Amino acid sequence: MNAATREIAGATYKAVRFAEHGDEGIDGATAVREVWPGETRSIPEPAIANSLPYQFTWHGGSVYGMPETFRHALPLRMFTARAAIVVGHDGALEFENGLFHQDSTAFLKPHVPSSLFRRQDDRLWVRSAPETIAPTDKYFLGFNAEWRNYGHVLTDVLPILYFYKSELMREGYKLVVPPLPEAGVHDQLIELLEIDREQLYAMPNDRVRFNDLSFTTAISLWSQTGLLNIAAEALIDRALARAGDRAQARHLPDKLLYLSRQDATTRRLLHEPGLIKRLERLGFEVVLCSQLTLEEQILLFQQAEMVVGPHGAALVNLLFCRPGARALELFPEYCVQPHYRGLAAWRKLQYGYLVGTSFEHENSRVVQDSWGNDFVIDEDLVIETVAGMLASRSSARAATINLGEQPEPRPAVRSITTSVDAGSPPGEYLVSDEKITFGNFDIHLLNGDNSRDFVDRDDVFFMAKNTAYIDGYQELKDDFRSRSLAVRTILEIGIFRGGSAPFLHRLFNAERVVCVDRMPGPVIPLENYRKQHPNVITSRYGINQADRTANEPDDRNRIFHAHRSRGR
Amino acid sequence: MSQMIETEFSTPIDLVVDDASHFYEETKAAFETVFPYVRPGGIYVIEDWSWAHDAPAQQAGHYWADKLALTNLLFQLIMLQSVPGIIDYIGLRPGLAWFRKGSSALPKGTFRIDEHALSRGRKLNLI
Repeated sequence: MNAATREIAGATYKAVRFAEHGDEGIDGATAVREVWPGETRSIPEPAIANSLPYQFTWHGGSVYGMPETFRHALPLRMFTARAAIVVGHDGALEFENGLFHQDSTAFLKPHVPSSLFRRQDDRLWVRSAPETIAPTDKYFLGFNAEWRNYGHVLTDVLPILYFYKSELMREGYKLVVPPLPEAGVHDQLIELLEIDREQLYAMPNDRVRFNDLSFTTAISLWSQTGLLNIAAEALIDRALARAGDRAQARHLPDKLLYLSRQDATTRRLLHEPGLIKRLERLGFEVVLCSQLTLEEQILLFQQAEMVVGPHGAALVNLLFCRPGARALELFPEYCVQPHYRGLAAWRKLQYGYLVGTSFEHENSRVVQDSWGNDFVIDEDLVIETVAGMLASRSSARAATINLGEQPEPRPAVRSITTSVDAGSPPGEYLVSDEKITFGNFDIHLLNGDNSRDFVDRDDVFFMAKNTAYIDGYQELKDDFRSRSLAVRTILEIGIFRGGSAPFLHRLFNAERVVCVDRMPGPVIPLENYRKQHPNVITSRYGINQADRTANEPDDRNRIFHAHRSRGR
Repeated sequence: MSQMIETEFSTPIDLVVDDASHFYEETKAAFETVFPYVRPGGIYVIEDWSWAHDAPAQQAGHYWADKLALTNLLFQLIMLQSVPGIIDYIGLRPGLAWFRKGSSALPKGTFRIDEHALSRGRKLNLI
């Protein structure tokens, strides 16, 4: 037996070698079309905790994702191979020349007994026989090795199936689907997308040779196409149509959902019952997504106003939330990664996250790495963050101010000359209901319920204060001035979107403004401003106002910052 | 908070703006910690003191339903104003309350509102 083959458990395996990728195609397949290249539009940064690093932890190590992959949709490229082999339930692709398509092996699980792949001596091996030959036809590969994983099916496979349904089905292509009768969510996608079952080719768990096989570049959240949004919308429409009256009867999204992992074996929140109790008092309902069909999950998340849950596949349902819904992801210490943050950005959700502490518990499942460790998280912080994220929707603050403002009509724009603290140069600002302007520096103001327009804007300054607050602070300024006192030093407790610190700095012409917040930060607009005024502005994150002595962030935040600093 | 202030400020603070949790206990703790660092004549602002009186907050399922009104702290600070030298002026607007520091030096770390605001042994019923 030569070095390229070996016996493993009584069967012959051959070494996997990968085909070279070129600009025009792959060694073994030809690029035949590029789909929706116009979908290279930018997608917004997620809101609230816009500091989640593109760095994430993976099996105890740190990995960096490419920020651009979250910000731009890529075109989908389709390739055709004249004769190729699809390997069993793994969906990996071998070309006629014996080389493998590397993208399609990315999520192989060679340790699974039914896999036809094995790892030995740091090499990947594949069963070389037997082999089935599919009837002559043109085929399209419609799954990958992750077809059992709810999250991956939706992010990686759904766009491909949607592409098949909208482009290739009518051209007569057969769709190659997973082998088992219990194809689960993959099969539910086939059903919801109304793909013609007559055109399916279900894989046996074998190597199958196709004489004409097309496939696409691998899709994941790391390299996503604009098809994800379109396909998600199509699924939502279809689910709503099927629900008929039930769906029509629903009103504004008002459900608060907590996604439990109580049926999971890894990354369990150890004190989940206690947290659930507190969330239920806020109106949350507990959802066990594994008990629901795809269709039920789509309809449920369409009605979600906020979703809270530990990192896990159930969060992929953010795909079915309406734009503007809130999502709060709870990360174990050693499993921080921006997968769902990217998804939330795609779907224009307001996204936040908190990092807990991974915990070796006597009931913890033994795992080879810390990725799957159970964890604990500060419940007070979760509740506070939930309340904060919900508050930006119909805030008590907005209601108060609107009531208070009504009696006094004001001109749309007025000018106020702010002459002087002792020793300060004169300044002037313009204020309207929308913004306050110092020279050419704008800070957007709270105006009705507009805060949602600014939570995902890192490029502008916004503060949750309206013109009534400006009047109040002007009164304070006048008070200082009347006493011939300058305001040189300011402490701001509570940063929010970072617009109020520049406001205080400019209004009072302060020499030093220190801003603290309990959230881990950083708040990007404030950091941008701080860089321009390094001797004036200081930002301190992770400090709780109720902690009478603290100078350092809480433990959970120290962990977070440690993750960040390692890569800098 | 106190260590942060000792680190960041070398002189008494002229203006403090608390726009953080808006909860009674947390805001009170912050006031007790920070107010002693405010210079005489400086101002301590508490934003959004009136959230508990808004219409949405009256709903049983309101997300802050289990939180005490921040107004409780204002009541206590009004009582505190009876003590010469601690607060010499209180300003109140919808959503904005401010407290001007009197001339007394307050103990850093151990200042407690309840120890100064005497009330004949009677206690406020917190709302």
